[in-house]
Amino acid sequence: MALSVLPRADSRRTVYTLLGVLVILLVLPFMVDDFGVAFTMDILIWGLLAMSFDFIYGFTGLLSLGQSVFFGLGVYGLTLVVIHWGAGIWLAMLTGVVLSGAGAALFGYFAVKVRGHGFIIVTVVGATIITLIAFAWKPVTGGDDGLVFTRPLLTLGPWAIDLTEQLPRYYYTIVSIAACYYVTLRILRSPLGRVFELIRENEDRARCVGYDTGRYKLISFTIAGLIAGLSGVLYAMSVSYASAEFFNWLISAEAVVWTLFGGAGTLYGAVAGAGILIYLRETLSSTWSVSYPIILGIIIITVVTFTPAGLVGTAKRLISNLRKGGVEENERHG
Amino acid sequence: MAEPGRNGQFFHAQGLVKKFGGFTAVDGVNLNVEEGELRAIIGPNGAGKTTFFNLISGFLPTTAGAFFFKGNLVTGMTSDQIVRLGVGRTFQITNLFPQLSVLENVQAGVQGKSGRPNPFRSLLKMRDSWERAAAVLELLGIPERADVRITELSHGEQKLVDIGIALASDPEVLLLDEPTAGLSASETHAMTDKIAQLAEERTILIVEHDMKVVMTLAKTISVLHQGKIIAEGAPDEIRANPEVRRVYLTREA
Repeated sequence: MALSVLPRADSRRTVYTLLGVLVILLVLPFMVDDFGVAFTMDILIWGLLAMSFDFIYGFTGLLSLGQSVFFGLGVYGLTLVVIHWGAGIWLAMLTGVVLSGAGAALFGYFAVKVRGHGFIIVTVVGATIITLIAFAWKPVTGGDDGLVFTRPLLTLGPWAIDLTEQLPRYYYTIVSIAACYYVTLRILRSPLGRVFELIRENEDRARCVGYDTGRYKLISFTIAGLIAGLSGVLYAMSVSYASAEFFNWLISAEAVVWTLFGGAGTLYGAVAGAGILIYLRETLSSTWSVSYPIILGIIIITVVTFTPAGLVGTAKRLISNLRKGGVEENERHG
Repeated sequence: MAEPGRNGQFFHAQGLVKKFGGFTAVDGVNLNVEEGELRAIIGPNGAGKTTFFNLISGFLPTTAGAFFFKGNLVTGMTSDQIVRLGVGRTFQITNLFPQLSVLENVQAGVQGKSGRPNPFRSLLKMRDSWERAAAVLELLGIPERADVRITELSHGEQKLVDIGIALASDPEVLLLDEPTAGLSASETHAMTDKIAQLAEERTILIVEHDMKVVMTLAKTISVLHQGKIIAEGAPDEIRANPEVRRVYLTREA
């Protein structure tokens, strides 16, 4: 049998790359100031939200503008159990993430039935309705005033770590995100992840190889909701308040822009896109405090127009082309 | 005519009807195919051939009638269920996973038949699945194209991958919808040989426009005209049938 045609497993390289990035993030606080640490934490949390969008769009082909809803559910799940029950960190995080997943399963149940552009509309309208409800339901959500809470301690066996301190909170955040990234990557590289890609590529044909695509779209939507929920949980722990504004679909739209800028369907492209654009926004706004959105907009349009695969996606393609060219070159000479 | 349907027949369509608004595309088709047979379905454009395939493969809801496969009532099932039952199909218009490689496309067919996808396994390490896909490419004679992305293939190669995906699930019945459409003369010749080879191991229904292909391959031909089967028989009988000549062959020539 022609085993040479089988795809090569490059999981070892992935693990090394991830460990490398994790090490850099772990030593980062010794190299940058407090602002730099806070800024990195911010980027990674928004990057996780972008990853959630990439999961449902870049890998499953469903352009969801509803990810802010699951972000908001993560924020409120955590906030409400902390405020009302004085829940510990683990229960609070679990509540936030489970609430997002349940919300996504329910929302997705209706949304994934609608194909094509209709799906986008359903997610925007759904997110808008939920935002309006969140604003109106003031006794529970605090509406536009929001809810302020005291961060629970991070309990790890005999230790109880105070997360109001920035440094421990930074480590708590990056470890959570790294774990989530790893699990997400494993899912995407499993046969289940392939089913999502088959749906992205051609839903009718995916059904015709034996998959009940509606069911798998719902599974993907729910997983993406769980990821958005974790980003909401971490964001709540970062700012220690919740606001109805977090449900707003415009937050989802930002995740869309970050992901397309970085490169959809790569996972790390979404995080990189969030990082680059948030960094640019900060630097540009300090120089041109009024006109910076125009400059940022021009940059985004230029990149998305000239690199349809996004920055990282295009770089990845160039590298793999170079590699392939190199291999062919070797074969010719060898 | 008043057969009960579930009497153990292998492949049995009973009075299938499909209406689109006021237009009847398939108008009470009865069709029996024996296990191991290679049956051709011919008819002029708009005769309802592809619609008939869409009904039995679950791509369109049936208006009336029923289709049975090995004693199971298939009508009402979804297309994914029908594939898992053992009825595979290909498409007249290319219908593949464009950004994936040839091997990945065919592996999708293998994977689709092998139960629920496990989120805790590595896809790349599923050796059996990839080997099965590689074997299908070998069978189709395109193993050297395994790593090529679909968007970089010729039309003829895409037609082969389409068959490859269907074959990967090891169907008992293979529905081929115009497998030689758009192929060059030499490609058509190669495809015809390939189909004859595939027919040695499974039941095949083929919708085809190319008369030479049909006459070479099929022992029995069913002629569809305006949604109805107007004739059924060996190639020579079909060629001699005056009604078939009237609606079909003369116009074609």
